[in-house]
Amino acid sequence: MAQLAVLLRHEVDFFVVGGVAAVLHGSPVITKDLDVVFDPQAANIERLLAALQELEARYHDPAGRHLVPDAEGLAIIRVNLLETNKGRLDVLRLIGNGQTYGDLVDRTVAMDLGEFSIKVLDLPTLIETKEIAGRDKDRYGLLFLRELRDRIGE
Amino acid sequence: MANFTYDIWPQLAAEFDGPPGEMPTQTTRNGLDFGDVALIAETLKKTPLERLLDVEAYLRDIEILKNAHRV
Repeated sequence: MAQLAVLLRHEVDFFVVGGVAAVLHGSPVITKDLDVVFDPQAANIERLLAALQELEARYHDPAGRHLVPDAEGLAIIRVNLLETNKGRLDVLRLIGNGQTYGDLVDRTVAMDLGEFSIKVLDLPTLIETKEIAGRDKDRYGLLFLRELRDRIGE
Repeated sequence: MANFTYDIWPQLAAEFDGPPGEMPTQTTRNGLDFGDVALIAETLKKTPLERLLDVEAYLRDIEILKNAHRV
C-alpha cells in the first residue's frame, strides 16, 4: 500500500502484476514483493526515479553493494529487483514474452483501494504472462488463478 | 491469510462429493482441493483493499514472530 501511494503521488504511469495482482483478484496465496510494469517514456522514468528516491530504493544485491537505480538503467534493464524502505519492489520494463506497458495497459482493470485507484493486469492476461514465464515458483499460484478465472468467469 | 469461517462449507460441499461430515477428497479440474477452494471463496467475499490489507497484516505478524524468536 505504502509503495503504491508513493508511486501514485509522483504520478508514475504503471500497473500492478505478479503476486499482488493475484491477491487483488482474489488469490489467497501470500506474496512479499510488489511487481509493477512502468511506462518507459523518458518523462515517466523521471517521475518513477523521484518515487524510487523517496522510497530509498537500491538494487537487491547479494554481494551487499549499495546500487541505486538511475534513469539510464531504468530505460535499459528489463527487470529491476529493488529493496526499499517499504519492502521489496520489482520494477519491470518487460514481462511475459517481452511485452511492455504499452502492449498491456489496455488489458488492465482499475481497482479501488479506498484512498486511491490503481491499474492491475487483468486476470486472463496475468495467467497468460505467468504461463509464458514458465517459472517453477509460479506453478502453485497458477492453480489458484485458473480456479479463480473459472469461478468468477473472467 | 483468509480467515476460514465455516459458513461457506455447505455451499462448497455441494460441489464436492464425499461422505456427509467428512472432508471431500477429490480436486477441481485445476488441481485444487476443497480447502483451497474454500480459501478462494473466503477471499472473494472481501474487497481488493481488504485482500491487500490482509496480506500486509499477515506479513507483519510473521515479522513479529521472527523478531520474537531472535530475542
